[in-house]
Amino acid sequence: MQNNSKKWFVLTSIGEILFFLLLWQVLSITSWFPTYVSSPVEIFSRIGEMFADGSIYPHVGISLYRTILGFLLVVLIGTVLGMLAGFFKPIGNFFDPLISFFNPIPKIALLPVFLVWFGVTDVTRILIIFTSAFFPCFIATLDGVRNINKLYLWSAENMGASKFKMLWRIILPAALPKIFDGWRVALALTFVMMFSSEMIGTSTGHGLGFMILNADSYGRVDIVLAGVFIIALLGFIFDRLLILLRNRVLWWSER
Amino acid sequence: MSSIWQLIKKYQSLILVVVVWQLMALSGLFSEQLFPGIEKIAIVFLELLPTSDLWSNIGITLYRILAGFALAAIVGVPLGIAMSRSRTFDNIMQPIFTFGYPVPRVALYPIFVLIFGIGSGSKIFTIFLECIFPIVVNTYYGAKRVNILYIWSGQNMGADKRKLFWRVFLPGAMPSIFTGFRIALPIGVVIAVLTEMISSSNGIGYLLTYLSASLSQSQVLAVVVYISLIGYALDRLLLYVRNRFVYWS
Repeated sequence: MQNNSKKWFVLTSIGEILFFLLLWQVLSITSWFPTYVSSPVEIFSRIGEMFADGSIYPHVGISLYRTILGFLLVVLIGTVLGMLAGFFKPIGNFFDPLISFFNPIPKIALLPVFLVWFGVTDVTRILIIFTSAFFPCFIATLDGVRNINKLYLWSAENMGASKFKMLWRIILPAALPKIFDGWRVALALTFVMMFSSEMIGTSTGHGLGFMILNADSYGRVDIVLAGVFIIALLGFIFDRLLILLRNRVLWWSER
Repeated sequence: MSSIWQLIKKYQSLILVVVVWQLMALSGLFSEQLFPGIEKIAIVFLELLPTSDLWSNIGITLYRILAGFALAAIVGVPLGIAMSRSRTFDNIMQPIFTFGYPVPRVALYPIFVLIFGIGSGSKIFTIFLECIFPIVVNTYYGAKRVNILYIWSGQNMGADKRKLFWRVFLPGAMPSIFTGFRIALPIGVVIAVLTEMISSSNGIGYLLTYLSASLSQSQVLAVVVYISLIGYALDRLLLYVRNRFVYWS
């Protein structure tokens, strides 16, 4: 039953995607769409070309490098700090006002500030990715740790577990479902910020956002849409990878 | 006396940030243009306060945020409820929200500029598209998790279908609908500022990029403070509305 509904879901999904593409194609051919919006066939042949002559790889490579580095920093620093702040009360008290003060700031507004400080470099881009994605990760971790069933902690303490052992063997596994939720939000934000930081304040260089911006200024809508499609695909693939990891690591927790 | 000490202790981290910032600014390691002290930012902040430049741009940005958000709410809430109520509709719509969720929809913005022009239309539509996902997803799960006991008791007491929907079902889903709103609204603020920074001729995001061209960090940081205040005020407003209407949770 479970398997069957999953199969059905995949089938309807594929059917819908094909339906939309077909509809789009028909609308383009019959000129119902404005002619400057390329048809799917054009877009996919452009994507094929870009992969065939290799011109897409530097863009994808550099964008992925920024995204992954930013995301890993968030995961590492956000999760560790979140766990420490959740477990040790003084650290939590220290961070609470900082979080409630800085969390509501739309971090994208800091981009011009970073641009002046660090120039049009990867430091700026990764920093803006980090500041945007850090908060959901940190807050989710903190929340997960603070809401752990106190009985687990008491019994561990009773059995003489050290602080480190408690963090590693009890708090981390118990808070992990919440932590994964935070990671998922952070990952989606990472992609948005990768795109934005490449669109704003770039003059020359590589990256999918830059490619889109460049094609846009030349009026090449087919390349713009190809870039959008690749970003969408990458965002989707990485989200799936994270869910796959979640299901492997968190086999005991139901979805 | 001890209460002041308590306050200082509670906000020690913020005080630390301010002190470190001021020390960096005073140390002369960076030029004042690049790293202004907090008092400089405060002065620019107050200077900007009476200018019509600031308020007209804030007004435009607020209009875009609220229009995009309202559209997303008007479309998203009925959509989420319909998905939770009808199995076929759920099967049809679910793939869109599963596959569309992790996709950065803001990447479509250049296309929307082509279609709707560089004015408010393209921004409102991008905001709408980003806001609708959390609203639909939260409405859907909220509506699915309305306690079945309430529905049964409502039916038992002879409520007809319409009454059951408006008096039992919708209020039951309301808290999580508002959770969706609270996730969506800050996203709306971010997307508004972002799209205005990418290409615009007005709005607070435009003002930000315009001022940053002058390389005067104190002006940029003052506008950042205004943007943060907008985000903060909108969140408070939503919280107020929530507490007025969803007073039971």
